[in-house]
Amino acid sequence: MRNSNNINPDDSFEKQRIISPVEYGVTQQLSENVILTTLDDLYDWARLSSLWPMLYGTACCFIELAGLIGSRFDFDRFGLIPRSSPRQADVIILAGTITMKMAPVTLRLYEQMPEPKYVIAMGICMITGGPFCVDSPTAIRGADKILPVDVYIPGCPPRPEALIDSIIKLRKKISNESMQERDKIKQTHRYYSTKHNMKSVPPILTGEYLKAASRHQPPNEITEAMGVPIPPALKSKEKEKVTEIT
Amino acid sequence: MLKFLKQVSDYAKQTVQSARYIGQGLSVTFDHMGRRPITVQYPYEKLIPSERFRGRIHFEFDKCISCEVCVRVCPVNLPVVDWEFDKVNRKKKLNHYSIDFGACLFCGNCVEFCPTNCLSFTEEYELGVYDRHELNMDNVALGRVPYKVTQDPMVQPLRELVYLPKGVLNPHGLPPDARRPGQLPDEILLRSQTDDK
Repeated sequence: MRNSNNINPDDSFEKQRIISPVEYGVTQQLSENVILTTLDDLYDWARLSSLWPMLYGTACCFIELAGLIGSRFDFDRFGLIPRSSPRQADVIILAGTITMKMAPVTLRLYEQMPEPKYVIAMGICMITGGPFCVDSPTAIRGADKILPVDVYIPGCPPRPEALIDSIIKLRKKISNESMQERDKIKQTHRYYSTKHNMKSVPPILTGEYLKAASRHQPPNEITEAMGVPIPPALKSKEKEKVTEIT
Repeated sequence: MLKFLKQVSDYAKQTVQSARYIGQGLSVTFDHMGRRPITVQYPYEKLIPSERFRGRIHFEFDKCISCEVCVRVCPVNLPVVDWEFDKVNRKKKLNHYSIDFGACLFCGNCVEFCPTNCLSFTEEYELGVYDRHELNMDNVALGRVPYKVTQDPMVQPLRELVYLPKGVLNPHGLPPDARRPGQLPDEILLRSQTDDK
């Protein structure tokens, strides 16, 4: 049976074989075409030169991130303008610690960002949980348990220059992308997740307490005791009990 | 006629006053025009980290005695010291040593308490990676010679604030022998000796 590699399985390793036979040749794929390569470069350049980060910061690492917004280490030189809204942001620089309470909030912010989006995990709390990786009951051991991360920066906190270095590395990663593979980057299966034994519980705070009638108006017994006149129909039935108490 | 002249002179005075006021504000603006921006142009200019900067940890395999003090003093018990007791020579033999920089706080406890000084800090801080498993460095990776800012031909090294001479705030264009204020201990000793004489 002839295989397409033209390699005879009976050949021993001592015999010489052509490793890349001529049939392969130069690829005929469309993306390797000169025109589309230049277009890919232009598309990638346009995106990497103006990565707008979201202003996200939970803890100490955000102070170092804020140092980049200032003039000494300026990230506007790289085209980064901090945006408050996730809808306008390209990249989210996760700075700080994620706890169990903050995790769904962070995930929601990430989901609200429009594609194409990138994530930089800044600081060890976001890589492995950092100082909280051993005994903490609430800290999440790394942001990549809940969302996909592109670049990781170690440090507690990392220097602002280390953060700029990681932005440069993210730009290198973006420059390798191709327009044709845009739709292959799906959100599922980009990060590792595992089956857990946690049971879903209904939320404790449902708003019922806030809407309770007694919070808006004191009960009839109290209003009578206070001396506020109320219509006879609404008067409480257990008037004797009230007098006993008072 | 006189009233008209007075009006003209009033208007002229007001104009001069407002021009002076604007001029005072603009003098601050133009003063800034002549100054050099303090931005450190990061990949082309890098600040030289200070002497005691807590960068990536360096490990000398040959000096380690596998005492595991570094593991005990670490806040997260991070270094992994793989040793076994060699019954023939009655010594501990170190097989492997690794530190995961994805969890290392760079606190310095291990460096401070190491009895043989095999752990030390380097000045490297550019440790960003695409995959966090690359941050788990084994003894070979920990023993590598660090990247020096002063030896990189593409980079102009800048001194940090405390290393600049007195009265100088701009790190560019400093002569290489410009000294920081203050004296080294040897110099203090020398001075006290000459004073004694």
